[in-house]
Amino acid sequence: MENILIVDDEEHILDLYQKELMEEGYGVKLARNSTQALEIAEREKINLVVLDIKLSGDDSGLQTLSLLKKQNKDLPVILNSAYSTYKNNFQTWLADAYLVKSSNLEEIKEKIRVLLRG
Amino acid sequence: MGIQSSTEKISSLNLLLEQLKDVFLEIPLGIFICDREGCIKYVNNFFPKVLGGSKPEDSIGLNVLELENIKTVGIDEKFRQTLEKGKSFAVERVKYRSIWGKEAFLSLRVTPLKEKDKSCFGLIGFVEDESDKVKLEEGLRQKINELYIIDEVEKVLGSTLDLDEILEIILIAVTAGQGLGFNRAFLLLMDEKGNYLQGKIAIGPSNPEEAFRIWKSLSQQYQSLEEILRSYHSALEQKDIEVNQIVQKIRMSIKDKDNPLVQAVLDKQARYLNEKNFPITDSSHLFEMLGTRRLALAPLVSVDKVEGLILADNFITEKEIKEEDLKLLQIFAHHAGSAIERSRLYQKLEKKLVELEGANRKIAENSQRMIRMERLQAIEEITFQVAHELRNPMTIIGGFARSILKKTISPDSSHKYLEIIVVEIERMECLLTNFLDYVYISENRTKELNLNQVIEQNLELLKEDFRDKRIYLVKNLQPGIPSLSLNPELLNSSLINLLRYMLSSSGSGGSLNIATRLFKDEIILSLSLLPANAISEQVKSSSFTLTSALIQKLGGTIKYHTEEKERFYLEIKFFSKGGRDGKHSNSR
Repeated sequence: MENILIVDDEEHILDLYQKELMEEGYGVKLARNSTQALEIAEREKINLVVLDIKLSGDDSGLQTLSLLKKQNKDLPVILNSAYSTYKNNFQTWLADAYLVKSSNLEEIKEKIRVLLRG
Repeated sequence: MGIQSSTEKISSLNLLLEQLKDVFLEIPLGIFICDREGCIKYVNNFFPKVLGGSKPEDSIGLNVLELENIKTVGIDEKFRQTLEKGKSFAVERVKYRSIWGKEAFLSLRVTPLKEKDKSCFGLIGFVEDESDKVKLEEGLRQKINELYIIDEVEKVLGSTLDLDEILEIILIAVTAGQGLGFNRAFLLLMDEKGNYLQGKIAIGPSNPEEAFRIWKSLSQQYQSLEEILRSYHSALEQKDIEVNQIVQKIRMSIKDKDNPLVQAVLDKQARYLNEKNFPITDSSHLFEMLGTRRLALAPLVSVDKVEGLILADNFITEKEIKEEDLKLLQIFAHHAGSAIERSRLYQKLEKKLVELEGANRKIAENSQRMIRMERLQAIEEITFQVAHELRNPMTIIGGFARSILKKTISPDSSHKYLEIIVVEIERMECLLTNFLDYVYISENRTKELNLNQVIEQNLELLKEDFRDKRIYLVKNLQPGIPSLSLNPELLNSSLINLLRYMLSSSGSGGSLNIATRLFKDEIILSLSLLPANAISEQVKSSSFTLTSALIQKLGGTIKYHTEEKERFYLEIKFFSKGGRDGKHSNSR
């Protein structure tokens, strides 16, 4: 089973993504901040990360992205944000995909499929 | 007493005077003694000097009662009275022309010579030439008058800074009888660059009748020069059309150094111009225009700068223009030049003040605008933040609704409500996307885009939806249309939204015709949907309005209408490169 790590500070987003992705047959791990995300990614076998950019506190998704890639440069990361403006930030170019959050999760599911397949 | 006795007495008097001649030599008085008949018997050595004779003997024998020159000034009778009635007399400064042709102002004191019995046997006279004194006093009077004129004009000139008023005052001062007393005056001003002298304004009658009428009226109305100057508006009521027509025609280049007017300006000196010193070839036809060949010129000088030139003449009276007139005109012109300079400086100052006020106003406006902009920016930032924050709850609500919907059987009543939630959330997300796209535009981020490719990419994203709704896609994309330099996110966002409206507006089954074409310098994208059952609701939505605004922000125009059989037609035009006079107008 492929494991996906969801990193978001919104509890209900975590619930929704966990439910939907589990239904798709993935193993889902949840992290509410950068520290948790890096710990899980190091400790567990993670095949893909869905990472929010704006995390609560001082945590920055973009910094987390950089650290995750430092740990494992082959780990696919999808940046998932309510903001479309970060697309123009060169720091986001490290990610394998950038998707704006939507109630329709088909697009993200499709992107996960493509990245895991590749 | 006999004649013999009288003669003897006169002889002894002569002798006495001869003995006292050393004393009289020093006195600048002509002394003469007449006998009872008025015949001059003795004159001192100074007497011929007073009357212009060459030697004393020339006067001996002349009779004061018979000389025509004496009769002309009417004092022969006074001599008679002295001789007959023994009365002394004196006359002061009588203008007298002697038999030797000398003209002088003479003062005369005459006393009878009497016997012991009071009878008169002759007279003695003392005559003094006061011509020098008279001339000196006249000169003094003239200077006082000049000072008075300058003082009066200065007072009035100092009370205004209006250039037109100053020019009028100058002209009136030059022509008023109480002023410089010329018949006509013409004022020429130097242009701002100092290249040309241009006639500006003039004053003066055009014929003797008019002159008489005006001068009479002025003398009856006003007592002093100041009164006339202060009432210049009414004094100029006549407007002197003819002289003003003349002055308007006068224009000469300062480079025309043969022109005496230009010479006067360059020398900064007043001069008198007449037939003799005026060049034979008068290129400016000045004398012809003015109708006179006797003219006083005075440059209006302020410090070192020449402001203009005054031309004055005695066209009507033909009175000679004297050296003193010219001098006074020059003094006056210096004051007038300073007044003009003062006025021009004031005008410049006023202009600068207006500019300064304008600049201050602009600074104040800009400052207000900055404050407004800062406020707007703050509001925009907050709006932007709030809009983003809305996306998470919408994702959660819509996401869970979709999730539940998948597991709900269709006839279930909750199924319908969940569907509504999903549709409404989708609508809100679309509105939010449009709104954020509209607010956030990377101004500098444009890219060369092929419209056909962008359309293909967006159709690819929605192809499943079109298939599900059984909408048949017809594409007529003209190959080779020029690229557009646009913001790719905005264009994609606009197109996908439009395609979504088409999807939402059609029922199950139908066709969507998508075409692109180049027409002149415009690239036209047209979407034609049949049937478009619910399009009217879509175009009324705020989301559609935002999409239209996005198209316009991209520099495009959008038009749409519903045709027969519920066909909806929408057309978007973009200017291609080189459109609108070669300017690339779609980059925003």
